[in-house]
Amino acid sequence: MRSTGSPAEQQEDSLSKKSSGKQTRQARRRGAAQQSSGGGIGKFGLLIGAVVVLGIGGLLFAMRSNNAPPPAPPLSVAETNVEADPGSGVAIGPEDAPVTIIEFSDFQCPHCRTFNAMTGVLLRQNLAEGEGILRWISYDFPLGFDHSLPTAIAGRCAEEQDRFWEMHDLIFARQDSWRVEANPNGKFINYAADLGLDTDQFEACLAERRYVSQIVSSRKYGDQLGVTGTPSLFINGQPVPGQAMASYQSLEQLIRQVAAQSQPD
Amino acid sequence: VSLDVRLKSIALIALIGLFISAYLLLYSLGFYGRIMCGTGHCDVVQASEYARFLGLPVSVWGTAWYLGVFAAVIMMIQRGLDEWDAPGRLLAALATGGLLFSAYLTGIEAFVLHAYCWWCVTSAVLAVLIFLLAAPWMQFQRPE
Repeated sequence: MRSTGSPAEQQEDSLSKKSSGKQTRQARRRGAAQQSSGGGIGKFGLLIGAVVVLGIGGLLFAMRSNNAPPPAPPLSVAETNVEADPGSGVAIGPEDAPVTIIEFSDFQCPHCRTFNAMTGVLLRQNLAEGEGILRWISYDFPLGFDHSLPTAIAGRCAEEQDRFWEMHDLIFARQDSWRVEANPNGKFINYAADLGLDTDQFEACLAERRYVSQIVSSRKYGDQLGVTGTPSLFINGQPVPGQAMASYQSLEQLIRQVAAQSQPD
Repeated sequence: VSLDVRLKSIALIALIGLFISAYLLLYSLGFYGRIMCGTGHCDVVQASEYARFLGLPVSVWGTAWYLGVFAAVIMMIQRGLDEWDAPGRLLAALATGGLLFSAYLTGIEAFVLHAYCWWCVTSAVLAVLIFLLAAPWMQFQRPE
């Protein structure tokens, strides 16, 4: 038995315990208050102040130094006054491959993203880099979305460092991320860093819009071929029907057929 | 570690976390062109659907959470309240909630997005530290 006293004694005992508990808490409060109001609070206040100053300074510094290059101004006459150029595309796969696909696309076009993810990446991997029966040439066909041109420039600036295709696939894969930005160049610089590119060179390239002429030539080449939408494909010079682009399998089948036809007997 | 040192440590950690959340909040509001992320993928994490919670950017909740922790702790330090007064209970509730929410967000980064935002990971570490330091206020019974 824990308690042997009468009910009255137990009540008194309980009251006494409560009272003593209250006193203990009060003492503890006083102690804590005294501890806090001692010399420690001054040093603590200084520490808090230092963190606040550093924090605010950091936020301001980041705002000043971390801003992406300003969005590109409108195209100049010199940039738009260029000819259509079949050499303005970026190629992958052997030059003597029996099949050449040329693709016109816009990084901000949702269909292009889906086509790239479901079909383009695998075809290039399997048939261009793998079997070597396909040469794939990508042309910019900026449709006029707000980021059509900046993305095309980012792709070309990666090509300057021989990393076009990695950047190409990354820009498509992260379309949801950069398309909501007012100025997406900062994101592209992050991607360049992820890919191990020289980010200073890349950033300067974006700021200078170094390859706008090629992009415009590329677009004009598409216009010349009658391209009106993206993604548009031509296989050995013939337009690829939408039906054949519907899946990886259908396009692969078409490529193999064309490859078989173009083999010398 | 004395209660006083614990409280002051929590206050400092909460303040650091507050600035991290504020940075992410300012980024989500468009004040920064790009996010400083080193080798992480902050942009992927920040642009994902999981970057919002109950209709608001997660950084809003983070900022409010750190502010709440900081306010509770400063009240305790200033007033010398013991661990069973309201701010102590608030601290315990916030520390537990913050730990669980951080675990959820880190899980999303690791298993759903397969991308890490180092600011978020740092914030999760701070949440763990706050939880550990707030342990004495987690008791269910008032100590006599």
